[in-house]
Amino acid sequence: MQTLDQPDRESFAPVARLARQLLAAPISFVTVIDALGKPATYLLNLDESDNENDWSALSVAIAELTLAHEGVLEMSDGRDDPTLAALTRNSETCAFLAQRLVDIATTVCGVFGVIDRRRRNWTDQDRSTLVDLSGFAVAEIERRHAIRLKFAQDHSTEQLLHLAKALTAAAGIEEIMQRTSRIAGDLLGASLANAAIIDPEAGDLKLLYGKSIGIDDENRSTRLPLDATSPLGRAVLTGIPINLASPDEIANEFPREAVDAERAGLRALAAYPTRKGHAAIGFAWTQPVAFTDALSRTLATVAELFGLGLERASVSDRDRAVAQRLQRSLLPGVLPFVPGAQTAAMYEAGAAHMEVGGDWYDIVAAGPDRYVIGIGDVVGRGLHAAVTMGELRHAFAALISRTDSLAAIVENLDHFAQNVEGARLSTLVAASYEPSTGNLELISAGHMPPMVRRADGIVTQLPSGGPPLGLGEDIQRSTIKTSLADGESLWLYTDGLVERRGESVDVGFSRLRTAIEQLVTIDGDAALREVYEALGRPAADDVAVVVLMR
Amino acid sequence: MAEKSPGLLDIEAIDGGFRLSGEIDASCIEALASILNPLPEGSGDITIHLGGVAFIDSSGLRELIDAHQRAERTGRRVLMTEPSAVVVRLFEISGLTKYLHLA
Repeated sequence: MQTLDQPDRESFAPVARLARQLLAAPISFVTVIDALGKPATYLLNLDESDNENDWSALSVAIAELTLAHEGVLEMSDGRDDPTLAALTRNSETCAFLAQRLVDIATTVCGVFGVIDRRRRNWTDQDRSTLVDLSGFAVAEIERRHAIRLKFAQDHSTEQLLHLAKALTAAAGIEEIMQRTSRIAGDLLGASLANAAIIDPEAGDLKLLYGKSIGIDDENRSTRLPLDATSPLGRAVLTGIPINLASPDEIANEFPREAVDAERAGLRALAAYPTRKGHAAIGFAWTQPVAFTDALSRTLATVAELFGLGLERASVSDRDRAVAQRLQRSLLPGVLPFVPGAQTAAMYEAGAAHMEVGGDWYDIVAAGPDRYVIGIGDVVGRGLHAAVTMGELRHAFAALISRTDSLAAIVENLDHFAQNVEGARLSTLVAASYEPSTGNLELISAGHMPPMVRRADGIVTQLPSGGPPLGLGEDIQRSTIKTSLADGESLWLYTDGLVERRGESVDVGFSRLRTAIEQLVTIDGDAALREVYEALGRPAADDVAVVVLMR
Repeated sequence: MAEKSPGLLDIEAIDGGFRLSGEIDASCIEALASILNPLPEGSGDITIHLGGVAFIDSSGLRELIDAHQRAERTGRRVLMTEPSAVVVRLFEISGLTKYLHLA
C-alpha cells in the first residue's frame, strides 16, 4: 500500500526513459510543487559517471527559471546565463529544455525538463516531444496529489485504500462505476450504487448503474432531469449530501422516488455529491439505516474518490492520445529501400477506451545483400509497454550492426528480455533476407507464425517457433529457411490482426490466408490496407503488419 | 469454494490445485495472481485444470508461465491438465508445448 504515496523517482522513470530515447537527452528532472507550495526537484536520468549533486543544483536553478515562465523555456548554451554557468562545474556547458506543468485545475504543479551536457539547438520536434512528455508528468503528479489528499483524512480504512487504488487503475467510467459499486456493497452493505453525471450538452444528468438488486435492468432510465425532484439531482444541484433513513423519509422528500424504491424493496437511500459538483453517487439499502457521523463520512469519502476517479478517467483519455503519438514516434519513420523488393508496414492502435499496446516492427539494412526484419509484441499496455517496446526495438537494431548471425541476435534479445522486467515474455519474429537470391531465414520466439504467398497465389503458414523471450533457460531456437521467388511475399503480423474473442485463432489464420490469396494489387501499401480492412477492426488489441514483396 | 472474479473467469479449488473456466484476460489477472502468486503451500505438484477455458490472452499466458517458473525454482511442477483445444492451440503457437507440463 505504501506505493500509493511514495514521492519517489520511480513513478517518473518511464517518462525519463522516453525522454532519453526520443530527445537523446542524458539528464531529465521533474519538479513537484507540494500542497504547501514548496517545490521539490528530482533528478531522473543520470549516467553512472555523473555526480548527482552537481546536476541537482543545476536542475533546481532551471526549475526556478521555468516556474516563472509560461510554456516551454529553453537555452542552447548555459554559458549565456551567469547563474547556470556558475553551476555547470562538471561539463563545459549545458543546454536545457523545460516546461512549466499545469494540472487540470489550471494550477501550476511543477516543471519537467531535460538537460544535455553540450551546446544544443533544440528543434521543433524536440519541443513538441517535451510537451507530450510533460503531459505524462502532469498525470503522474495529479495522481499522487489526489491520493495523498484522500489519506490525510482519518477514515482511511483498508477498503477505502483499496478503492482509491482500484480507481486510479480504472480504464474508463464504466469500470470506475463497477469498482465503486462493488466496494460500496462490501463496505457499506449498500445493495445498489448508481451515479448521475452532468451532461453539459444535453443539460441533464446521465445515469450510470453499478450492481443492482431488484431493479428491472431492461427498463431503467438512463437520463435524469437536472432538478431537485430526485435525490441524485438535488445532491448535484445543492452540493449537499442527502440521507434518507427510512421509507417514510423517502416518501416525504421524494414522492416519485418512493414508488420505485418500494417496488424494488429499498428502504433507505443516500445521495452524495462529488467535490467538484459535476456528479453525485447514490446508495440504497434494503433495510432502514442509521446515518451515524462515521457512516456519513465514509459515504462522503466514497463519493469523493468516485469524483477523483471520474477526473482521472478524463486525464487518461488525454494520456492515451499522447501515448499513441509517442508509440508512433518510436516506430521507424521511413523503411529502408530493399533492392528488388517492396516493403510496407503499418501500426494501428487498439480501439477507443483501450490503451496503446506494445507492438513494434523494424527493417534494418545489415549489409550490402542482407536486410533484417523484426516484428514483436511486448506484454502489457500503456506507457510502460510503449517504453519497453522502444527499448527492445533499439536493442534489436543495435544488435544487427554487431553480428551477422540471426541466432545470435535472438539469443541476445533473450538475455535483454530476462533483465528488463517489462520485456519478459515479449514475442518476436526476426527474419534475415538476401535480396540477390530471395533467401530467407526466420526465427520465431512465441510469435504468430508468418505467412508466405507463393507465386501460384497460395498462402502457406510457416511453422511456429520456440517460446517467448526472456524465459531464463537455455532455449534452443530453430531457424526456418525458405526463399521468395519473384512475385512472392512474406507477411509478418501481430496477434491483434487475427485473434478474436470467442473463436479459435485458426479461424483468424484462415481469414488472413484468404485475404492475402485474394489480393490483386502489387502495391505493398495498398496490399496491407486491403488485408487489414478484410480482417475487420479488432475489438481491443493493437495491430502491426509488415510485408515484403519480391 | 468457488470464487467469481469480476471478469468472466471462474476459479474453483480442487484437490491439489485449481480448475479454471471461462475467459482469461487482463481483467481477471488479479484474481488469477491471487491464487498462483504465491503458489499454494506444500511440496507436491500443483494442478491447474484448463478444460473449461474458452479464451486466454497473452497476459493470462504470462501468469501461467510465471506460476510454472515459480514452481520449478522450488523443485515442484505445475501440471496443466486437460487444456481445451483453444488453449492447446495457443500453447502451440507460442512455442510453449514443450516448455510447460501439459497432461
